[in-house]
Amino acid sequence: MILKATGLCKNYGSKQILKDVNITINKGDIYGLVGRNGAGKTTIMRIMTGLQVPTKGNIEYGYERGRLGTTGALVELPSIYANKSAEENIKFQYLNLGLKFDDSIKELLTLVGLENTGNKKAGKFSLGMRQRLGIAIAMVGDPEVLVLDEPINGLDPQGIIEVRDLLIKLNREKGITIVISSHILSELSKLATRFGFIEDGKMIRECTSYDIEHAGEKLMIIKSSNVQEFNALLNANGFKSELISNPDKVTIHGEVDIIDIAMIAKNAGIKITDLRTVETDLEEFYVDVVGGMNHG
Amino acid sequence: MVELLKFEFYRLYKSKLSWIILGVMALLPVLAVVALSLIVLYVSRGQDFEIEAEQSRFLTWLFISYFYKWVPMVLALFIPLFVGRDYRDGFIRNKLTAGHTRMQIFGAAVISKATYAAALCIAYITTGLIASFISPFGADINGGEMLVRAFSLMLSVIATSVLFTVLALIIKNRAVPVILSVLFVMSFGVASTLATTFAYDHAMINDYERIRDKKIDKMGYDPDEMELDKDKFFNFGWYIGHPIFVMTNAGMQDEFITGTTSIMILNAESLQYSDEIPRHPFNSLVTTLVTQEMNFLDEKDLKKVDGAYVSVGTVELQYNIKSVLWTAVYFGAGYALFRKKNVF
Repeated sequence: MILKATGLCKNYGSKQILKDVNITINKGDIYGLVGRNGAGKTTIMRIMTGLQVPTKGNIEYGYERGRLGTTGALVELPSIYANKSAEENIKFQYLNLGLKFDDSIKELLTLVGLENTGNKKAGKFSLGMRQRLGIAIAMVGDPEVLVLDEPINGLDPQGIIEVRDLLIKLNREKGITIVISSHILSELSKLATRFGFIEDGKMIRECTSYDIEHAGEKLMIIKSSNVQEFNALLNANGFKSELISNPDKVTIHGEVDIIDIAMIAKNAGIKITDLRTVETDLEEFYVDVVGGMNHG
Repeated sequence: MVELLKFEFYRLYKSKLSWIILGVMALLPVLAVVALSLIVLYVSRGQDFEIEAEQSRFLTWLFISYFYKWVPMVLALFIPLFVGRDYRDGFIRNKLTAGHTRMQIFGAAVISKATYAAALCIAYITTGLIASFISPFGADINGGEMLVRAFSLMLSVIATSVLFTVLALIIKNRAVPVILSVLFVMSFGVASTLATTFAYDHAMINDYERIRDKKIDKMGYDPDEMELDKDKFFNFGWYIGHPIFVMTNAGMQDEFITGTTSIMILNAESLQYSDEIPRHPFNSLVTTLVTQEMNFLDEKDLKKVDGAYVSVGTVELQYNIKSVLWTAVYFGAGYALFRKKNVF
């Protein structure tokens, strides 16, 4: 466990933003916070990073929180001086953490693709460049935990891929635990290993990416040369298959061994031209979880 | 805390505006010395120019003490804009997420701006002294006593800089602390006159009455017929002005800084660098009009009145204590508000 929050509540006046939220984040997780606008994701992130104090509840840290730089954060907007260059902004973060200036400043700029920005002021950067600078600042000092609120906002497709690859690399190579929120669920599903679903200030579900993938029934869709004969053969061999027309395909429900399917086709002289499996995706899962909550 | 102090000083070091202000503050006394030298050269029309020691001392003080009028105004503009950028650009969030406490963030901001304020004062004093030394007037710092007096003014400027920093830290909108700070500095002159007009207290007026009656008696008048109406001294204005004088260092400007107009009089007596500061209302035309009290005592008599004149050393001590106390009040109250402040 690197962070465990229990019974977190946050009130703004009479308005209750967080209602008894429990979260457990393990070391090495890429933890995706999923929820609609105003659900309480940013408030949770602010509390995790020390920007806000919870009205009630407790947070345990599995690392030395008091040591400078153990938490890197990009919460809401990138926190950068608009009248300074990218390099100067990184230098300020080095000073903030009590680090000495060295070559790692240039390396960090190269890592986020801002090495050629020279003396250009950050205020003149595009939104994507500002996001990347914000991520670079969050990464200064190799933090134990990176808390990133909508880090791919404003990034172009190439930028999104680069940031995704960068975060995966940081997680795998440096063991940095990442807490991330994004409205782009398809992106989040490619990154996160664990998820927390927040709705109306409540944590309604915590699960792993495996849980999501296996939440619904798996479906295998096969295109073949003789679909009717193939479907009959599959049924005869005990598979729950059915025929879908236009274009003609065979679908098999449930967990199956692809080699068994291939052997049946080969023995019958049937040629498989396409085969793919369909799993439950994050979007579907989110709709199920939140929908269930709303109708519960 | 050390990290944050390094951060704040590096930010000041990298700020072009902070260097420009420092340069301007260092240049202002030089310009004053040059301007006065040119006037004197023009007036003397090439004749030998001699200056008395008293005049030299007075002019030296005039050249170095005016930082008290300039520095607070530039700080009122600079500090809120500089500190406010931390809110506007959000870098203050990086300090919190890094793991610094609010006390450390608050303390580093206050210490760095107070140091910058001191640097501006020192720059002004230093170049003022150098320019004065080179000029035909010469520099006379009264055996170093003048620097102690300048230090008292500097302490007051530092207290003011702490107030400006605190305002910028507790008010997120950058414009509001600028307006409040500028208004604060603009009120210096009025506050100083108000405070020093009512610097006297009951004991001083009682002692004045005793010595006044003695003199009236000596002059052959009946003191009972010319009874002093004390109520007119302790009227509504006194109840406002006196607490301001006692509790704040608002009176410094009137008590320490000589107006530039006195230089136009150009006689040695008026250009005195005094070692005592008057705290009586009897030379004031306004007081005479309000109280109808005739000025029976001359300066020599008034010096016998307890509390009518106070030594510069005592005045310095009083103001220094008030500057330190107000610094503590600004810091404490400011932190109490900043501690709970929403910083995003």
